[in-house]
Amino acid sequence: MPLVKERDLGTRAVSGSPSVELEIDGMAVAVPEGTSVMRAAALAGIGVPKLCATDSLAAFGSCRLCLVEIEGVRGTPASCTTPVAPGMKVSTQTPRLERLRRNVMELYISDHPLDCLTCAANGDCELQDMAGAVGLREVRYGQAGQSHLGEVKDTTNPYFAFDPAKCIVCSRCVRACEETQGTFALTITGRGFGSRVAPGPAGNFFDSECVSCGACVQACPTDALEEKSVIDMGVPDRSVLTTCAYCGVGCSFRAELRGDEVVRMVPSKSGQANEGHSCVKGRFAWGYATHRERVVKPMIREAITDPWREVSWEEAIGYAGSRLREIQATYGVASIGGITSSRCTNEEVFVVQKMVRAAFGNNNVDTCARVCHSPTGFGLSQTFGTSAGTQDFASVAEADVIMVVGANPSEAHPVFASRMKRRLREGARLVVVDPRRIDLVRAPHIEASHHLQLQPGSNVALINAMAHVVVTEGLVDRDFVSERCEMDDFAVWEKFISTDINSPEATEPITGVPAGEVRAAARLYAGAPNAAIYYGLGVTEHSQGSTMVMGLANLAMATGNIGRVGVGVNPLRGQNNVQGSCDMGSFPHEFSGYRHVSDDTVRHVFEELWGRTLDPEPGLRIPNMFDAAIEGTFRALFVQGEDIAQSDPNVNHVKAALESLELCIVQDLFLNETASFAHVFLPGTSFLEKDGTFTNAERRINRVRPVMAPRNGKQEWQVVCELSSAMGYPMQYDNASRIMDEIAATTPTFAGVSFRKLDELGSLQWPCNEAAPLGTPTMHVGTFVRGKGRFLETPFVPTEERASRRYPLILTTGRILTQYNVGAQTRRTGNVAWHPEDVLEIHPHDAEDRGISDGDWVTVTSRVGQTELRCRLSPRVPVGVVYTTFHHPVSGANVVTTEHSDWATNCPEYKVTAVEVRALRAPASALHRGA
Amino acid sequence: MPLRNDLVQMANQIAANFLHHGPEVAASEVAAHLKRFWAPPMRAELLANLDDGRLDPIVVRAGELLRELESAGSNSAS
Amino acid sequence: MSEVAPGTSSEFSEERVRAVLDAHRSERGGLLPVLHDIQGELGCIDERAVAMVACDLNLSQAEVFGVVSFYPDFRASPSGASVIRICRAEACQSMGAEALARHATESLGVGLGDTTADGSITLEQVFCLGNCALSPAVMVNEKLVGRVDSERFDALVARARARASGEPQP
Ligand code: SF4
Ligand code: SF4
Ligand code: SF4
Ligand code: FES
Ligand code: FES
Repeated sequence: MPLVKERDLGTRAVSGSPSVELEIDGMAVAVPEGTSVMRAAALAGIGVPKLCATDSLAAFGSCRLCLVEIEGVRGTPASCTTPVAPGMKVSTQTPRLERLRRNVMELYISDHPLDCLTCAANGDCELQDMAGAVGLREVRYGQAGQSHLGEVKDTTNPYFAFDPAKCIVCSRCVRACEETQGTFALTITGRGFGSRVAPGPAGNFFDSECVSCGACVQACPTDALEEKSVIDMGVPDRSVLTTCAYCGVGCSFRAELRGDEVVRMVPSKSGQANEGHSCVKGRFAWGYATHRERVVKPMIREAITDPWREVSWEEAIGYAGSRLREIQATYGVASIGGITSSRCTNEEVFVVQKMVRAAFGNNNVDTCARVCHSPTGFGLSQTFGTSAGTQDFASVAEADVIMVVGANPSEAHPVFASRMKRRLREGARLVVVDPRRIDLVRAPHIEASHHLQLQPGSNVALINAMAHVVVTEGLVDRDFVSERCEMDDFAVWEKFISTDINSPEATEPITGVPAGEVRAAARLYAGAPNAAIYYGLGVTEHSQGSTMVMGLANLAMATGNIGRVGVGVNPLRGQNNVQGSCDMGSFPHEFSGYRHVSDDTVRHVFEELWGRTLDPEPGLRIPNMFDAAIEGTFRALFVQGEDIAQSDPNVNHVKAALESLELCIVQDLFLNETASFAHVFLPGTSFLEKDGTFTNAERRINRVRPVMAPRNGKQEWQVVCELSSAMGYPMQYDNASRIMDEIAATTPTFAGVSFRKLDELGSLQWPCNEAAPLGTPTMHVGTFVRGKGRFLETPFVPTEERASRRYPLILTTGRILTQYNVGAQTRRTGNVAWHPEDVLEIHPHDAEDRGISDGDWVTVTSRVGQTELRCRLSPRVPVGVVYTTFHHPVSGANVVTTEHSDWATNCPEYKVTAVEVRALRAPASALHRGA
Repeated sequence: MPLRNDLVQMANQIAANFLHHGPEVAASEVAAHLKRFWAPPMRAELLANLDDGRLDPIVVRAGELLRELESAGSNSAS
Repeated sequence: MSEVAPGTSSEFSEERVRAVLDAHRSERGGLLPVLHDIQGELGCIDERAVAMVACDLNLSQAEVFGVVSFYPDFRASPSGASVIRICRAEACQSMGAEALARHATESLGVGLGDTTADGSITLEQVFCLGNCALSPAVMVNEKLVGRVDSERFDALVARARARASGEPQP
């Protein structure tokens, strides 16, 4: 693809029918009311010169370059700030306008370096374009006078530089940081000629409030804010539209390249999930794809104590295939299994589960989503009938009350957080349910109406208390319930939830949240015209994860907040393709589209197509595989792109399990922790090489297009097909789109999906089939997927993991913006500048009790293990709770997390571990290093 | 060989989460849950050890129901 | 307005900033009055004060900083014992204000808006002191001085330094 530049229509789109007719330079145009003259002109194909306007931001009217003449109007109004009116007659090119514009340009250029030819933005600079457009030929003001030409560059940000000498103070960056990102990290200091762009009082970008989302760089018309990669490599010459592989937001990007090298990733305005916005990970942290530690040759070894031996693809695959068959011959068909990855494409995941079911001949396939969102699958399918978020992201713009439960969107889903913050600045109210005071509780121009700062592990008690208030205070939406839900189930639930044990007063000792706050929050949620729930791993990663998901669904149904725009129950998925990997049938009990393996009709569809008899019984889940491995009945494992030895709880237990395997096959980019237990290493592909689709948290299927050839020489799905073939079950596809065709042919919710349609429409939200050929932005409209919504009782069964005398603190885990999951990718990028190590947050009181000061090294000990971390005193966590992230292997946060898990799905209880924290003079690991 | 710890823990936890239905309904819910989500070797191991003293009485009752279900040879899940 | 005279000792004090913020709590939304009082209390609104104000009023630090830098009455760092302001507006420019400014920055070794290392002098620029007839104009603390050339400027500096170190003024 040649370099595609997205058109900039100058000002924002206005929704509505094109009802205002006017004439621009003699051409008739019709646009919606409220559209600017500039945008109307652009739509008619007429470009009015501009500098301070761009269509992602509100018009500002400062540069005076976009002047036009309007018949009957005095003077020369700015077209960006002038709305259209019926019958208007606009001229954009007259001698007077040309003269005025030239004068304006001349002033800009007189204070601008004239080194265009050596400027990194040469060819990609609006100032340059405009100078040409207005026909600037001479600059009458010499550059000898006062100017800003001598000012120093700020290169503190790892990814972009700010060169004040090239800044024209159009304030597009400042506005982008406010309007697009919502961080407000930039300002214009001083005034008049002295006004400059500044990243706050810190004086440089790195130490400022900036979160490095890149919106300002994107908005800057000149080289003043420029990607360092462009400065180093030059402007790109071709681009490929693809999807970020970092989180469940699924942002669309144009990968811009020079030859075979990526120069930059530019968020695409046509991306329906992100609409031109990005975060630091997707925008800048793609360098890992070509990191020197990437393994690109297959390797094998007899024992995990042996050194690795590079071999050909044939040998590696042949070896793996015959070992798998030998093991099955000795220990039985069920003695092997596979784990799929939420980082891989739908197509890659689909072939792995197919290999397990058809070639392995069992259902021992599970996905890493087991450890994050399996309770979502269980809870939402029990109540609504399907396992997916109910809304598209845009829906949040219509919510009046937003309830964020156990999620930290500013860190984990930044681009969605920006959307949410925009809505909150417009006046929507916010309820935050989280033990930790997350950014959203109080951030510039954002303040939660209620922060229900509950004890970790008491989610269900809290949600029951909220529902109790709704029911006992007469806030139930009776019409909705009687029309849309099973009334028998509702009656049982109503009785259960009304009992006193569920009242805010009765649950206060459990949750620690004042009853009055709970009541007020419940009233706020129930009383809103539109109330929406967004939740994350703080809901699912508990021993009552599934119950809590049902509790959220109950609350939404009881208040009628399901089935239209602006409401809903929405899981925020961690990894990029958690939704997709679940959809693709990588649970041991379900085929693609969440259909149980025991369902004969469904099974026959696959048996017919695949030519094998399939097992009608569920297989082993990940934790079951580990337990069975230690027991000795489970002997071989295929692991697709997932570092289970770091990401799974109670790591020591996992390592023991991996160690006891006879064969472990790892398909990944890097020799990760899990690979140290592997016998076969099959190099994988980065997202820049993949060809396929990812499905984001709003069920949106986005295309992932190869930007460069696979560095390992093969697509991952090809490798899986070859392995399957080596085992005697031939699998073969001409290309990835054929795999999607098979998914569509076997999965009713995907029936209408194809690469061709995706390329045409950009993306599709499933269900996409005959009933909804263009996909489904909002689910459960009119009727639930399961017919009628089902209320389920949600008794609070406390976890067995409790604080005790020996382990008096509760450890809870989370994520940070600049790092991703186990950090395998982000740790290999410039992002380490922000998060060089995991730290333990501890409340100052708890720290004082233990003689710990800020920055000390401490030991964290739980029942199952011990690790060392540096600690930070922080009032963000309540007394009695400590918090950390798990992005770095050395900190081994998962050494201490236990094997407790969700009762229904075995999703591990990452969010609650009883621990003790003790001061440590220096970390043992540091001592070892010194020795 | 006594029943694996993880199976005891998981089974008892499932029972605790259905307890609110009362013992008889809870037992049949637990049985259905095991049938739907547990791999056959895990179920078999549980059924072979229903006399393990650590199991919740509801699990024991569920085990008996499950045994009936299995011998009825029905594959269809609830 | 309670502008602290130049030279008043101004140390950051969390308690005093907190007290100002508390006093304004009932008003809701008034950034300027808060900044005026902090400037009056502490003689400047430094980074730490900016952070506290931002947090209290739910603004970003950059926004507060932008406002501080916009109004000449607010200072981001404490001023030196004396403040010398050089006019750089048109009339003064035409009479050599640029050369004067260059001389000032070079001889004092600081940029416009900065304070000398010994803390004796803060050099600032202004745009018109209303003294155009006597351009180029300079203001030393509250005192207006006209027709300032390099020598005259050096003398003003010497006097200001002497006063700062408590010596009898020449
Ligand atoms: S990178 Fe993003 S957060 Fe940082 S200043 Fe630019 S817009 Fe603001
Ligand atoms: S940095 Fe760029 S966007 Fe910001 S004011 Fe300067 S020219 Fe405009
Ligand atoms: S990490 Fe998530 S929010 Fe950031 S660019 Fe990628 S998909 Fe978007
Ligand atoms: S583009 Fe309209 S004033 Fe700048
Ligand atoms: S221009 Fe300098 S005092 Fe007026």
